[in-house]
Formats: sequence, structure tokens, C-alpha cells
Amino acid sequence: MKITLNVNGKNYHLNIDPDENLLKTLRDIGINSVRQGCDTGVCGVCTVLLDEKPILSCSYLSVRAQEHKIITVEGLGKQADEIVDFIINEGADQCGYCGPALVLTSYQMKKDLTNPTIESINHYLAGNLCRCTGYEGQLRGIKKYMGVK
Amino acid sequence: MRFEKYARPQSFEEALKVLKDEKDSRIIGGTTFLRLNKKGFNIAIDLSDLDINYIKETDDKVFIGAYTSLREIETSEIIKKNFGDLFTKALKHIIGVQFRNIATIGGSVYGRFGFSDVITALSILDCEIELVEHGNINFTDFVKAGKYKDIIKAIILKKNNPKISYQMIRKSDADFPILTTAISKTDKIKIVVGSRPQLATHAIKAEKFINGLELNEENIAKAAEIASEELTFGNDIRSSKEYKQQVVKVLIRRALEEIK
Repeated sequence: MKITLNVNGKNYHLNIDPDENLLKTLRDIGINSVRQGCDTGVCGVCTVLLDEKPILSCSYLSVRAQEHKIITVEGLGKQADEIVDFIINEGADQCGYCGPALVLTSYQMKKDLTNPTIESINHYLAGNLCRCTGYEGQLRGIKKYMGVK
Repeated sequence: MRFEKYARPQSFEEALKVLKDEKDSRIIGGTTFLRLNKKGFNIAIDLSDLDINYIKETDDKVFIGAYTSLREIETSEIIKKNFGDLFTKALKHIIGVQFRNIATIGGSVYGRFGFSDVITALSILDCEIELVEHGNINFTDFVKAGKYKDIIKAIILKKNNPKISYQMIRKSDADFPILTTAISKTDKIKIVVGSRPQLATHAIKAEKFINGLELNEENIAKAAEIASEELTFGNDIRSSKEYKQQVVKVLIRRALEEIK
């Protein structure tokens, strides 16, 4: 079936299967920052922003995504660089596989949490798994990005 | 989960017609089970055009549309104002924010999963489920009755200012629960236990015992013991039935002490 997806401000006219998930469609158009991990809706590495909400693209139908604005880490530009700097400065970037999803979720978290605390940050990021288990370093960087001591 | 065709009806009547007339058709909710189930089916019916994503209130009721996400319920001021932190506590451990942004309350209810925090939480409220064909049905009756070949439009919650406690135990954040317990107190006390691992159910004997009695240490301990004896528990990959049978007493005690 034919759909039009708006990804990072650009329209893509595509022909997809009805049951195709957004993760596959995005990777097929070359957006490889969106990763395939657990493939069961748990690990969070396939996260994208859909109308400013972090969602699991592996569990979202592409056909449903066509009325919405999709942002991947490529679409954040310098805003992503800022978050990445906080993470790198803590020596927290390891294999990098979970990085784009963590950056996207953190970006949206800063908008959503008006009074962030360590507890609310941990809770918001609970759906972002890191296979290197580098959580402590990541959290140090994210806390600084969020302005939480 | 694979399907061949995708339908996007413009009315509930049209959706119901596809559901009833077309072989192997299913209503899709948040599609969070898209990657978990290898079974295929013929037609996926998407209700996204039917405006069932809302939380609204009247003087005596709160209405939650079937396509409302768990995250919207978790963070809703209307929900917090009327039911305290029940849904925040019940929903916040379900996978992660990304999952709860797409999982819908309709899908959570229709699935009737034993591990469902959502069903445990709704079961202690005065709650109805609005179906397109069958009309409004008491929530507990709906859960007990099994699957209707029907479409959920909304969950309707009565505003009666309940005192509520939600207790659960998990091995880790974002895991399925080992056991869930919710207790509410209005003119009477309701006790519900879920993830036994069977579907959430009322501890009827414990409710009968505790209603009308003072919530003191002795009565609370007795009510917890009765619930532990009357409910059935089973083994699952997270714990043994013997463990659940012991832990339920602790969760019920904590909940009853919280609603004193």
C-alpha cells in the first residue's frame, strides 16, 4: 500500500506492506540511527519521536505513522550534539548501539519534565536498555544535561 | 504478528460490520504485541479515525476512550484528581515510557492478561466498559465473561472519592509483576489480587470478613490470611505459587493499613 511519511521534516512517498513496522520502513529509507534490538518492544533502541512523544518504532505500524511527524536523531541536529557532549564528557559512550535512542528520549524528557529529579529521570529512561550496561556514566551525563545535581 | 489487509473504518457501525462479516479480522489497539505473536490473521481494523483517544469528566463520571494511551492516563490531571496515585503506581512500571505512549487502555483490557496491572487497578473502581453492540457492562462482569466479539469504545469510572492503595512486587523495574494487589474503600472495601498468575479477581471472602470491622492489626492480618487461602495461585517463570501465597498477605496488609 502507498503511504507518505514525514520524517525529519521531509516527505517520503513509499510502498509498504500493511503490517510493516516503522522500524523497518525507516531503515529501508536509509535512516540507520534507528536500531533493531530485542525486536519484542522492550529494549528501546528503536525509539523515535512521534509528534514529540518517544515511541517504539518496532511496535508501531508504518501505515499509522503517516499522519504524524517523525523525528529521529538525524533530525535533532545540534540539539543532539549537545546531549552527546554531556554523555561523552562522562566517558559513557561505549558501543554506541543504544546512543541514538537515549539521545532522543533525553531530548524529549527535558521538554516533558518541568521539575526533573533523579528519580523522575531514572523512571523516564527505564525503557532505554544499554547492552554494555553503561548506565552510571550515561546517567551522570544526562543529569548534567537536565540540570540535576 | 502478520496480517494481510488493513481497514480504517469511519464509523463504529462500519468497524463492527468488518469485524463480524470478514473472516479472521481483529481490532488493533496500540499494536504493542506486533512483535510478540507469530500468529497471522486476515484484516487489521484500525479505529484511529473514530475519536476514541480522550480523558474527560462530568460531575459524576470520568470517561477514558479506548485508544487512550497508558502514558496519557498515567500523567492525566483528571485521573489524579479523582483517583489519586492509583494509575501512576499501577502503570509506571509497565516496560518504559516509549511502550506506554503506544499501549492503549482498550487493548490492555480486551487482552485480559493475568499479569495486567491495568485490570487489577480498574477492578477496584466502580467501573463500566462501553461496548458498541452490547452497551455498558460492569467491568468485573466483562472480565469474567471472556471475550466479546465487540468493540470497546470507552472505560467509564464513577467518581465516588475512594481511598485507594495499589501494591505490587516485581523482580525489577519494567518487568511483569510477580503479584499485584489493589484495595479501595468507599462505603465498602474491595480487595483485588492479580498476576497470581491468573487474571485479577476479587478476594470475596476476605472482603466479606473485613467490611464493617475496624481496620486494626488483628483484623487486617485475618483478612490477609483469608485472601491467601481463598484465592488460587500458580507457578510461573517469576515465582512459585507458594511464594505468591505468602507475599499476597504482605501486600494486602500494606494496602489495608494505607487506606485506614
